[in-house]
Amino acid sequence: MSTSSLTTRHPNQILVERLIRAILFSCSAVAIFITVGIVASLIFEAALFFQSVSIFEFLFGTEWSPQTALREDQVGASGRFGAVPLFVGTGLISTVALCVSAPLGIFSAIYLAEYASDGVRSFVKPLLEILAGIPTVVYGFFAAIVIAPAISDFGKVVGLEVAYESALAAGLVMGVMIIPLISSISDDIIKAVPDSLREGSRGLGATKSETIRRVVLPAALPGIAGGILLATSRAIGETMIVVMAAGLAANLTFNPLEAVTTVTVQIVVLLTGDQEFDSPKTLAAFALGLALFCVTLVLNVVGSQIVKKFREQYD
Amino acid sequence: MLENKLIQPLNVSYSSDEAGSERADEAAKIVASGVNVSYAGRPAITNVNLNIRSKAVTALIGPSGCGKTTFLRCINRMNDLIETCQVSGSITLDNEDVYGDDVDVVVLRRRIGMVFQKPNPFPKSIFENVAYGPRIHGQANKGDDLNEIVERSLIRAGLWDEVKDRLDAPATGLSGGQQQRLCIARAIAVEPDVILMDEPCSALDPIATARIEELIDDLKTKYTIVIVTHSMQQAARVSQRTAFFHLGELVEENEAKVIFTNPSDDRTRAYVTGSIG
Ligand SMILES: Nc1ncnc2c1ncn2[C@@H]1O[C@H](COP(=O)(O)OP(=O)(O)OP(=O)(O)O)[C@@H](O)[C@H]1O
Ligand SMILES: [Mg+2]
Repeated sequence: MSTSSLTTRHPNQILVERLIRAILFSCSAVAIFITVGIVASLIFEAALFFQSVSIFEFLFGTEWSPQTALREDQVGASGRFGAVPLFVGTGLISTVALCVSAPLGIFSAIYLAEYASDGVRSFVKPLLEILAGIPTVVYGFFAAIVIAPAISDFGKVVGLEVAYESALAAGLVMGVMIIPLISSISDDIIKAVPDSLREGSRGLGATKSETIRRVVLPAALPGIAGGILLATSRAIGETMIVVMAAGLAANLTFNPLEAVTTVTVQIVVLLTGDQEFDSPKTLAAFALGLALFCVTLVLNVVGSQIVKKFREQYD
Repeated sequence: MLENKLIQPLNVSYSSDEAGSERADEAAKIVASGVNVSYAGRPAITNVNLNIRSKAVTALIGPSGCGKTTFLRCINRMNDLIETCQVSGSITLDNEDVYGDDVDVVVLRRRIGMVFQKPNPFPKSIFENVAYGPRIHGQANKGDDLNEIVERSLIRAGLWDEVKDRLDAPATGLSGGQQQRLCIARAIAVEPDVILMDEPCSALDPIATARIEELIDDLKTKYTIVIVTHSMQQAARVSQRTAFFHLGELVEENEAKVIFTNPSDDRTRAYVTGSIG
């Protein structure tokens, strides 16, 4: 009797359990397959591209003019696909962005974590989150319509020639966009430094700022560096701001006052408008995408590993 | 000067003559009178009157939450760091008011060092941990002077032989007991008069604890030591004077052996015999 009541409900329950498990599994499987599929197609299309353009030229060539002929018999049938100017342009704008966001983000995190009263904190933190929530296209037109002309005009006043689409303008605005990211990671990291270290330092007679400079920040530095890597990855992959505020021409320059273009901008340029799907020009976008993917992947993995390690260290 | 010597602990009675005569010989290093502390208006300790004798070990014992840590942290004004904390009454160090208007806490804390419950070495090298205090106080910034301070402090803390070959190694790689001795070395590097210790052995195994106890016994020749402990055996082993706190009150303070063998208050007796706690 008792054994039968134990067995009767079982099959149903087992079925439900299995069904739920199967549904959940397939959902996560879909996400993973899509990711794998995207990466695979990136690699596949990039491989096609490298059949017509050597990988050496792509990685080390300094001339980027992807215009290919529309008809076979046209002159100048093949474009140039040296991506160095794009990498340098991306690096230049990201560097400007980090020069803005790293100090501002870290200092505001120090203020929030160490000095701000709870009242100020509960007011400033959401404000920073709003900054993080502004769509990048808004930053983009802010850069293109407000910042770029202002910098250009200011350049004229002091006698400097500043391109309208300067790396400086795009980088400054991108930096503002990244501030909340850096400040919120740094804030977490600084808060994770145990109070026992602060007390140890204060107990030896160190002042508050000595304690922050000599104990808290050195302890937090690895974690903050991880956060900056994550922010760098974000800057490198950022598209909308640079599409609106950076240039299109692939100048190879390290001068932030000149116009440069970026990897993401060129991907957009290559793929908008009518294209032959298997032309080197179109395929070049995949090669750029793959390069971008590799760099941001490494930055993300290394950055988040460092941040994670840091948190575990003080658990 | 005289005034401070006149302040007697209110609720302490000295039964034995021996204790009384010893008291007369030894000057009080720290005198707390009428100390009240509250957190956000809630009283934590009330009307504590206690003389802490120079170059001796005073143990503070009592059940959890009775205010031992609170009292200890009043002495070097670490409670200043807690916004909700209010201190009234007076505490003097060598007859100088610790809470006086012109007292610089940096100087105060240089004279009154502190060792915490959990070893808290800075994530720096062993050398840099000990050099930290001397550097901020400008005692020595580099070279031989600093090396000498570090070496002397580590020797005093009984750690030198274990670490002399790896002064540049990270301090966090030391064992718990070594870390705690490093924290003691760090505290004595700034040449304090007084060392406050809040349950310095509670995170350590018996062997490491025994080493720290030996060290404390050795240090009392040069420093005034106040130690909070939950272990009655430890208090009996290391302290000359013992103060029993209960529910925010200083119940009784006396020779350690009097407290443990013949206390005058029933609450003390109940605590040391293990029936309250
Ligand atoms: N930072 C604080 N904020 C509010 N209340 C506090 C704070 N620190 C201590 N208290 C309160 O003050 C009282 C005394 O605490 P204290 O830490 O001094 O006790 P203790 O004797 O050291 O206890 P233990 O043996 O558990 O360490 C307790 O009631 C405690 O809740
Ligand atoms: Mg305590």
